[in-house]
Amino acid sequence: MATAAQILANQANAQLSTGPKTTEGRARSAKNALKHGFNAIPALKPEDKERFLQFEADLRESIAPADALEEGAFLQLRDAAWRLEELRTEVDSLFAEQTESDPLESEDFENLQNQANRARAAAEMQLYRAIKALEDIQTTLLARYIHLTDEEHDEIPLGTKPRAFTYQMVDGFKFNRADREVFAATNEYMSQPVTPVIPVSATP
Amino acid sequence: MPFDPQTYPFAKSASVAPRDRQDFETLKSQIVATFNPFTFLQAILVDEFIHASWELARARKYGAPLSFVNRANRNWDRARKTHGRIQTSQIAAERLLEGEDAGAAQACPLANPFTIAKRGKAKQVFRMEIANGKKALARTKRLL
Repeated sequence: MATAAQILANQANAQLSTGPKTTEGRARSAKNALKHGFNAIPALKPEDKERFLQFEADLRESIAPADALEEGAFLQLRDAAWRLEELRTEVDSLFAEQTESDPLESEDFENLQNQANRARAAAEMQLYRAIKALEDIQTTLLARYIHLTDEEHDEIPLGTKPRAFTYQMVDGFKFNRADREVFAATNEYMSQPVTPVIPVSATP
Repeated sequence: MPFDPQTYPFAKSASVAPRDRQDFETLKSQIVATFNPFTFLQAILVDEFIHASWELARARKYGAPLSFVNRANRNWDRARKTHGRIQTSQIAAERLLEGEDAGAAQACPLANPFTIAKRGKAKQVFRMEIANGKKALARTKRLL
């Protein structure tokens, strides 16, 4: 059992080791338990903010998301593309510090490589899914613009697939809705003497 | 600012050993010339394709775990298909759609016009019908 003097001495010594004091020191020790960080989604670093905003602006220009649905898919795409770039940079910097050779040659980092591989596979899946979602949404929007009148636009829900409203049966023929006016005009022309067609078999 | 493929830093985060740098640069320039991306999204997909191709080349040279090769293979195929689909849609929208439809397509750059019925199809159908009708009438007159 410690004597009273030892206890006092321990308490006095403990005051000398209370962890990091400075902001940099605290930031460093906050990462003591971090092994590789591939499975976490890290917050955006302040030094990357400008690059990230430029990246987002360029991507937004090439996709032009217009409503909340497109915006949601766009944000998923943006996050996945940014994460993939970050992951590759992290892996590259991790290996570059250790060795001048190719990371695949190093057996020491096999576990680390597997972790990075899993994280990249997940981000890649998110990237392609988001692109597919954006393609579907924008194709539907364009089809609505081409084929629906304003009244029909209000009537048919936004989630409806184009095949449900692109065609319509008119007099037994399958036509685009957008062609109804053309159909009507042409039908008048069809009533000229040139029609109806007399089947050859019906002639004497 | 419009996308400029000349200034875009393709595959800047790839793991390249100093002795393989020349091979990597050759592969990269060949892929960029083949895919010819003209939007930022296409450039991201070309980036993915370069990374996947480079990873497969490294795996062939140095050996790699199966999971690494599988993922790179999958990414290679997805990037190629997705880039092709998007580029095809954008070029098709420019060439197939006319007037206000072309304007609407610019607001939906990822829309695939092949899955949307075109305007003016009915006109074509009826022109064909009329031509057939004239031919049939001429045949009938000849017979009469």
